[in-house]
Amino acid sequence: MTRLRAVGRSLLPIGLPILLLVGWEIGGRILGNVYLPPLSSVLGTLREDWLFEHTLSDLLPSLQRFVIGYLAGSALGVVLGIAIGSSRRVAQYIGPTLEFLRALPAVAIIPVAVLALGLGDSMRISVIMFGVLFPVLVNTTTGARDCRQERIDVARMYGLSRLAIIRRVVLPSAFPLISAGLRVALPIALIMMVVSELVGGQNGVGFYLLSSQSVFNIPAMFAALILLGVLGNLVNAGYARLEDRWLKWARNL
Amino acid sequence: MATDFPRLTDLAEPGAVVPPILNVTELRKRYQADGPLVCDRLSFSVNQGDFVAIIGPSGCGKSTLLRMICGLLPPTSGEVSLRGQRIDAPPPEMALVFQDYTRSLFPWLTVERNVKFPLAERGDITKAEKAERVAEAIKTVGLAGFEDYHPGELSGGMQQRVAIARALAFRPQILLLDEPFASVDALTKEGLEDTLLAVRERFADSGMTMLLVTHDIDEAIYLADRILVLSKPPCHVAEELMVDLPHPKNQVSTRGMPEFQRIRARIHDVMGLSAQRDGSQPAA
Ligand SMILES: Nc1ncnc2c1ncn2[C@@H]1O[C@H](COP(=O)(O)OP(=O)(O)OP(=O)(O)O)[C@@H](O)[C@H]1O
Ligand SMILES: [Mg+2]
Repeated sequence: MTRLRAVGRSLLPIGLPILLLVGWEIGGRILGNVYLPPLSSVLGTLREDWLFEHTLSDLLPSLQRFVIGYLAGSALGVVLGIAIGSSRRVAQYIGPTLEFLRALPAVAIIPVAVLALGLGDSMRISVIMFGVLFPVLVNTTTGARDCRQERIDVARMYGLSRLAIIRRVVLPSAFPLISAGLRVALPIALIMMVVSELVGGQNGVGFYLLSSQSVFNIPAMFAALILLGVLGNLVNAGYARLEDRWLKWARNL
Repeated sequence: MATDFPRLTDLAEPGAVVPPILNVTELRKRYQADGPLVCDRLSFSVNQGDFVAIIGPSGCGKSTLLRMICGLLPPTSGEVSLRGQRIDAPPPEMALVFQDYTRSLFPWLTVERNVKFPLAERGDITKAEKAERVAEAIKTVGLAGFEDYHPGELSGGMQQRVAIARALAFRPQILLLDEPFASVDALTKEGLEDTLLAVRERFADSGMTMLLVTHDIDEAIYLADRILVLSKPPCHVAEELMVDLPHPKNQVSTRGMPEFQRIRARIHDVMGLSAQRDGSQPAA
């Protein structure tokens, strides 16, 4: 009896997803509506298209832009954030400008980026960078600004140069916050990746999604959604594990 | 550089008066321009190889004084000079063990790397010597076996010992300690006190000078050759006492000596007296 209840409780979190998926399958079959193909046909398309034909032609280019844009945007955010957080003069000089740009919805930058950079990879990567930059920058700035004076004093006392203090004290002090910024930036990078591919794209998961929709290949459209959902979750889970490892020291502070 | 300055002891004629290594002159400090005076015309000097204890009531400005001595905090007026040269940046031969170890240790580094921190950027010391100094410092404070722990995984007293080991690895000529044994139990404290005396003994020929800030009167008498009693804030030197207890010291017999008791009574007197004066101030 209690055993049964325990099994029931462990099923609780996956109950709703299963119900939804079963509902989707049955609903799709009963309604026979083209806009809601049953799950099985979506999964069929997923297998046909993404194992592995479109993986090479669409997923790979998407991931490539995602990785480059994410890393470059993060690096820029960390460098600028450290500079702003550890120098009042830099903060006064570029702070207001960045504050203004930060308030801008990131996707609104796309038309501008298209005009400036055309429809190639550089536009798409720049757009991802722009989306990633601000959450990383803001967190890094806060982290660097809040670095405890005593820690900096220890480094000064032992004769470390300003650069060495930043590298050995300010950066690691700010790291828990930087890492949180990097985590927040991941789904944003994914969003920017898809959105940037909706504009004049030649390949990519976003391009596949839009072109499937425009030729009424509804199962393919849903297949792309599932793919993106799986991708997003994998990326988040991977990052959580990484963070767990490199922030072990911060757990019992 | 201050390091190139010839040692005054080397130049001194036998029998000549050796100038002090450290001079604190008319030191004043306000944190804000319109804020209260924390230190008021503090003056004293320290000879090479001295062990000076500084005691005074909480909040009287002891930590402030140490931070000014090691060049981390500019005085409002007056100056600190090291071998005759004014200090306005941290000199390379001083190390300070901060009062608050939770803030001064680096939680992302292991014990070993924390202790190695002062040497990490030094190009003038070989890798092997760095490792040797670190191992020795860790052993000296009794933390061998904990090299790979992070500060967050250690007790308060152990963390404090890491902070001490870090300063020892640097091998300063002048070691400043800000209440380094405040959060260890009585037994560990006695052990660490003796460790400090042993360290000093070992560095005696290189003349390690120590300045120890403490709340603990007995600790000051046990460790120091000279005790500076600071007044209530704004602080100045209220009393200077010489301690003439025989070396080597012993936790039991030294503390039982009449001289020990005499100095202790004197300090109580001085500190009690200043409290009395304060009590009579509102009436005056
Ligand atoms: N950064 C600071 N800014 C402003 N005031 C400060 C600062 N640090 C210390 N003070 C003030 O200076 C005075 C002396 O502080 P300090 O830390 O030097 O005392 P202390 O003698 O070390 O005390 P304790 O024995 O409790 O450690 C206090 O009144 C404190 O409020
Ligand atoms: Mg203090």
